[in-house]
Amino acid sequence: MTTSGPTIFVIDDQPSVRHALGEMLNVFGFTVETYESADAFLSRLDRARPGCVVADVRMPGTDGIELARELARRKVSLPVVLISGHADVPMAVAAIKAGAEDFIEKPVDDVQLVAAINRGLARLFEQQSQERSSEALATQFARLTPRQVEIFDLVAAGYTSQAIGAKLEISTRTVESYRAEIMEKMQAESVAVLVRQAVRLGRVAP
Amino acid sequence: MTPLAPHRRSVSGTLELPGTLARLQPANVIHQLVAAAACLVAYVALEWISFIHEHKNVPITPWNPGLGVVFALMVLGGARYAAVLFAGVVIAETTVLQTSLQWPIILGIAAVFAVVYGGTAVLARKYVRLDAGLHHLRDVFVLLATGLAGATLVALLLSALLLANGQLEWGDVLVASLPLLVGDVIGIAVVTPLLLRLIGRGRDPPIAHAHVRVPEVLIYVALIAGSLWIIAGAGTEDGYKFFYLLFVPVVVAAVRYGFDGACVALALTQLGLVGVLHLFDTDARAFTEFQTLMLALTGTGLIVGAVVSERQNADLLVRQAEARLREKEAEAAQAARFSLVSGMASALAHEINQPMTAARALARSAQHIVGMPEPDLGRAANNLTTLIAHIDHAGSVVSHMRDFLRRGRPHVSTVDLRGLLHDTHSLAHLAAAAHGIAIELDAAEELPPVYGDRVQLQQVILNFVHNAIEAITVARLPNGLVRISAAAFDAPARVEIGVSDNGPGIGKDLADRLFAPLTTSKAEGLGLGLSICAAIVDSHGGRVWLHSGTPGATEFRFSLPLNSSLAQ
Repeated sequence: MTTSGPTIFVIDDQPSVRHALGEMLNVFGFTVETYESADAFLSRLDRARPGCVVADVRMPGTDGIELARELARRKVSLPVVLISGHADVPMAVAAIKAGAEDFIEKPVDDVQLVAAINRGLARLFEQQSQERSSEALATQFARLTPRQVEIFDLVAAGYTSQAIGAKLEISTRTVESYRAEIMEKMQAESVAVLVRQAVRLGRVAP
Repeated sequence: MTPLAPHRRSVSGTLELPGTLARLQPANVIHQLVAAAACLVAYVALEWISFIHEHKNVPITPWNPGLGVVFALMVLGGARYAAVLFAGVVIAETTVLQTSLQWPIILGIAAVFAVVYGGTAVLARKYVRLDAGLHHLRDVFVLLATGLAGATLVALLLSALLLANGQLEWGDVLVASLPLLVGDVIGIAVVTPLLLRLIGRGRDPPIAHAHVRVPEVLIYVALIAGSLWIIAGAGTEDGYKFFYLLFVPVVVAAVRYGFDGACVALALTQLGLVGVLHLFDTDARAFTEFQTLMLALTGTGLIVGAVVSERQNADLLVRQAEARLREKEAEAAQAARFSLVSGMASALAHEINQPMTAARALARSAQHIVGMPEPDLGRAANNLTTLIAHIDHAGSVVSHMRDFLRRGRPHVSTVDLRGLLHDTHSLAHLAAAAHGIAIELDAAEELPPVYGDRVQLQQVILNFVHNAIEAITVARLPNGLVRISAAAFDAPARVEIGVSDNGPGIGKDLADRLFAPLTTSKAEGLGLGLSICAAIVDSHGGRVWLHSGTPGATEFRFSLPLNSSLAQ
């Protein structure tokens, strides 16, 4: 997975606005790309690149709110900050319903804009790191043998080593040694961590 | 005859009990009594004046104006005024006529009068819906028919009563009852309409009363007097041969002054005729013959008058409606301009907001750069230069708009069409962009100058653009496109300017009356935009039309003549 810095995608049909906003965000230290329409942005969308979309609401073709909906439909988790010169309550409601991070009136207050971008990026990274740890956990779990999985489930369900031994008709010591192997493979420091992992993997009800 | 009952009420307003009599409601008993007493006095007095002959103790005066007065009161006030008629007949019989009839007979005669006329008046008013203002020919017919029916019934009943009591012999029935019949009918025909109109007059629209010219009236009076003099001069035997002369002043007065004129002329004629006949001591038979002729004249005069009045009122209503429409049009022109302006204001806010947004962002970045440890001052200067350009752009938007809003009288000058179209395009662009609709300008390179009001012409084009944008927006069509085009043509030399759109099109039924005022397809539209456009183009000597109403290719066009003689 690439770990390049986030990019701010500024989308506005008005060249003056998109260049000025791009310049400002660039001066503030962001990597910026500008697009003259939502459709142009969507056609060059690389879902692996992290970033934040800053888009005008009213644009020819796909408008800002449509864009937010389209990204959600494609399960692209880029945060979207919408800006508009025609802000009104129904539009703001539609924007938030469409999943926008924030809705800012033109002329844009840069403090509010940067705050919204940062909030969106933070949420994105949080989500991505969670996704990454879920993936790692699944990989670890896949390395368990069927017998280990059986014992993993029983441990997570709260059985003691003796109870597991009795149930599977093996010695408690054997159970203990399985447990040690499982904990090591799952990188779980304690039974409590193991139970949490089982919950995250959906093996037991929380 | 088609009764116009539903409309009549709103049109004339004289339908309830008019004038002073309108207040004769139960609460106002004193007024009622005064009216009844006045009516009674009038009845008896008129009986006294008009009493001329008596045939075998039966008053056979072939003129009964008192009945006309009481009948008017009964039409207006209802059957209770039959009591006045009853009392009037009794008093007249005993005091004026000094009748030798016995009391039961007198009371019987009075009862017949009161019941029959009271009944017919109520019947006419309530069931035949007689309009007491007599605004329509139908009402005149109803009144005459009512009078005739009542008089016939009274004549029959009285004859029966007197026959039964031996006061009258079979051979005398016709001699006695015909004058009675004619006299009653003519009393109602001449006096009742006059009274109803006099009382109802205050409620008519003011223009309904034509300006009365005194010299003209004097001519009618002279004509009536002259005709009567000729009739009188010819004597009672041959006088009726010249009776037709009286038709001239009556009919002319009816044509000139409508129903009111007819009523007054007829009353004058009747008075004069009775006077002349009285003077020459005409016998009852000849009197009745003259009164029969008079009845024909009355019918003719009233009908002509009613027809003329009806037409005058209709003309008046049309004129009033036209005046109201003109007023509405002027208001709506203002409103349309306002709506155009408010739409523009919203677009203007958008258009200023854009450079403001850019300017603010650039100002903030310049500020940020300057605050850096190693500021890139070249970059900051660049940002500031762009920022100034944006502010200048905002300023030019405002000044353009101010030009457009310049209100006042038409300012006619030579108009550079290309410049006009470019300006209009950029103004229209604001409104179009706000709806996500593209707008194109497709003007010929060489366009001759036209002569006209630049702002008005711009308003026409913008109105078309506005309509196009609205049509596309309402129909929620994607990829909306509006195109403004212009080209010069020969024979006749003209420029045609068109605004087309890829909206939903215009239906055939709407297309036919597009430019008429108050035509609209919009839920909240006034329907005046296009009629104003048509008026503006018309004042420039051009014309405007729907070039195509096809969905996806709707186009409005207007032409402006070149070398026009508008340069006055």
